[in-house]
Amino acid sequence: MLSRHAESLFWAGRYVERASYITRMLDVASTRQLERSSRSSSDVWRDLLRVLYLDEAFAEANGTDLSSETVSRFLVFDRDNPSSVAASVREARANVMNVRDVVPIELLEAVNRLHAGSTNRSLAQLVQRSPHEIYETVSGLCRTVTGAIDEAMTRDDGYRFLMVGRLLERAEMTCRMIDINRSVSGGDASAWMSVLRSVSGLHAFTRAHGALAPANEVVRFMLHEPSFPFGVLHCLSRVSSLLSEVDGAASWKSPRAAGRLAADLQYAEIPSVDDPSLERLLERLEANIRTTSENLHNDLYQFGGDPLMYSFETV
Amino acid sequence: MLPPMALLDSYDPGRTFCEVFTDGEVRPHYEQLVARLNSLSLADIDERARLTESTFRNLGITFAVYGGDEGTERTWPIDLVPRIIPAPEWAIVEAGLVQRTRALNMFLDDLYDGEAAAIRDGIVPEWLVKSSDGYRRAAHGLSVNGGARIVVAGIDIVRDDLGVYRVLEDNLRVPSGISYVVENRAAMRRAFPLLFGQYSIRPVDDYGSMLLEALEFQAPVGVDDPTVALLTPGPFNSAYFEHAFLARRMGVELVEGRDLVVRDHVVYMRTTGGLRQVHVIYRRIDDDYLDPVVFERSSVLGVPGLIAAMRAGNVAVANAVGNGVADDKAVYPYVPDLIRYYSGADPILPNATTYTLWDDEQRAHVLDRLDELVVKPVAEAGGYGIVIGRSASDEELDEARRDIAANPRGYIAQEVIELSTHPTLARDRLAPRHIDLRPFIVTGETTRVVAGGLTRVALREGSLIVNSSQGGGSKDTWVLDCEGAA
Repeated sequence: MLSRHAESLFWAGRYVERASYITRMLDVASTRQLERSSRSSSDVWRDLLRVLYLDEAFAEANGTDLSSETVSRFLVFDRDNPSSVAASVREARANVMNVRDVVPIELLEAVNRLHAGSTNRSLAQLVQRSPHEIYETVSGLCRTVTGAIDEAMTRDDGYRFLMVGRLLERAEMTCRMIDINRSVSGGDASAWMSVLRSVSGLHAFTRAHGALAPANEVVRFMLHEPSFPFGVLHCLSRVSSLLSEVDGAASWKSPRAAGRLAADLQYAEIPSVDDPSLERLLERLEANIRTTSENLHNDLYQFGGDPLMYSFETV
Repeated sequence: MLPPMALLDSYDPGRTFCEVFTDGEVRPHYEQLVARLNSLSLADIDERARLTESTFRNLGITFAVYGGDEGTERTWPIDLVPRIIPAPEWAIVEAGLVQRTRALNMFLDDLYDGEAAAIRDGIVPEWLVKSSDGYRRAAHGLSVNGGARIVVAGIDIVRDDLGVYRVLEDNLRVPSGISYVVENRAAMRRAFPLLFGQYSIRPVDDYGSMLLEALEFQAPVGVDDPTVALLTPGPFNSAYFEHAFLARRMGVELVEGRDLVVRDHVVYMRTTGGLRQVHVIYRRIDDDYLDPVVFERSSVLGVPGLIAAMRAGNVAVANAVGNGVADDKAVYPYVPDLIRYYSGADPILPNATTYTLWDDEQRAHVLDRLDELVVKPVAEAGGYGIVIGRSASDEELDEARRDIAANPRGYIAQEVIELSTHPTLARDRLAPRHIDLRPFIVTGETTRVVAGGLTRVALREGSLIVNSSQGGGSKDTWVLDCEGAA
């Protein structure tokens, strides 16, 4: 498949996942700041922005107004914020449009619906009264997209690149999610339960470990549990196997990088929540995920055509 | 109490030629449609129009409008009252289009790859040909299989006040619109499924295979299983939807310039598995941007070395380079003579009455009657730059006068054609609106015409400008298999 198409599919996958994941994180944070009186709500929002690397951008746009309404607006609807849900959806759509001759109509349609639905004015009006409804709506539209991917896409290289994009984004976001909660809630088990709920993992975890399991067990589950779809190990193992199935990938760097990363994690000792080395482990994972993504970019364009190598002096 | 009035009971077609009514009677091929429309209320049709628009939006059936906000995307506008052409009428149009396309192909092949006999024999002046914006010196000696330089033509035709079909202009470079023909048909099937049982309509959705066959015919000698690719300027182009549509229908890759590379006069696509040779390129970018080595140097849309690869016989490009000379509006008045010259027969479809402005006598005549005529710049498309005398202000006429004086080669003048009208959904009723027709003609080993084409409709009352970039709409166009209904 064309290198450019492969990359567009990869980014379409990443942005769809990012939109959906940011929505999930917002939902957790918004619930947390309602539930917890011990911490002021602005601390919850500040930590969320920090984990998304958006604390500075937010301060620039909104100053010190860390109200739930302002943060939701910034993270969901602000098109000038390149990491908002709206911007992620716009990028997802732009990338799908780049490959509209390759992807099934069902996917195109679902992405257009996500775009129209998540930029809808009446949705933005819910930001004060019922933020949860916003998250529900956007999540539902994201699930329509992933449903279309699952149901309508042929399992060819295009599907693999799109899934690799989704899974790398998801692995990175799960790392960040663990990080935010580690710093916000420490060992508070109920906080970890709501994190699990946001990634559709609470029921599975409770069945496996019981409702009394400590926070450390949740962290281990989210990093190590191979059967958990949002688990970091699960995502990285799948990335490795998907990439190794790509036509001609035997000589590529990215499948090996992903495989090494999965193996490292699998045999790593998971530190407890209050151990500072947990933060270092998460940072290392995130850095290696970014390297894998860069390796893949170079693999895709090893026969030339890399847009990053182009000069844009002429139009 | 009076029964509710049916939608078309009070329809007043006005004085121009109406496609549906004649002397208050419904033309036979429209009877079932009129009956069906009369059984509906305006609200029924509005509801279907809303559904159709939302489907188009969700499917991304859109076009970009230039000027104003760059990259503004609009949903493709379709009017749900279809235009119907009976078989005998279509047979004449079809024959005329085939005849015209063949002659234009022969003219171009004669000019670029032959002895330029039409110039030698005085059919068309050499200075006119060589001063055309569309003329490309670089195309000389580039041979094309079967002389099919115009693989896809879009020839705009209109009906005058007597209902005579006339050719208004030729589009021989990168005509667009065929994807909307196919999507309009699909939309009509969803909106009025029952009507399709009452009419026997010729299909349009085999266009992908028709085009692919013609493109494969262009493959370099000795290549049995050619790889075809469609070259697009990218998602910001107004016709990007169509490019993706055609690539999908043909099952070929949709490539941008940066996806292609020329090595040793061979063109390759950059794929994740390595370089893959391309044999035929259906390009949807203009000549100027095709190859920065030969044409516009700053173009990043094209492929450096492409023209040399063509010359080496390793790749074919369709439509051929330099076709613009034959759809130059200043060459248009000569097309009937070119048809006579190459086919030995009279043109089946007449031109619109046209005046050339470098001719002193004709120019004087035109300047006298400027407020009655239409002035068109020869190199513009999309309805831009047209001055319609009777609705132009004095300043606009003065400006046109100055433009013509400064560059008589740059304009033509035509008698106004009162385009035929068709009932069209207006805000609160069905009202007459002017229409034209862009049929698509595909040439491979033979020349074939897609049944019907894109009917464009001027949505503003009285307007003669049908271009979608200027707020025009479209209609599904039904060519019937037999005279009336099935």
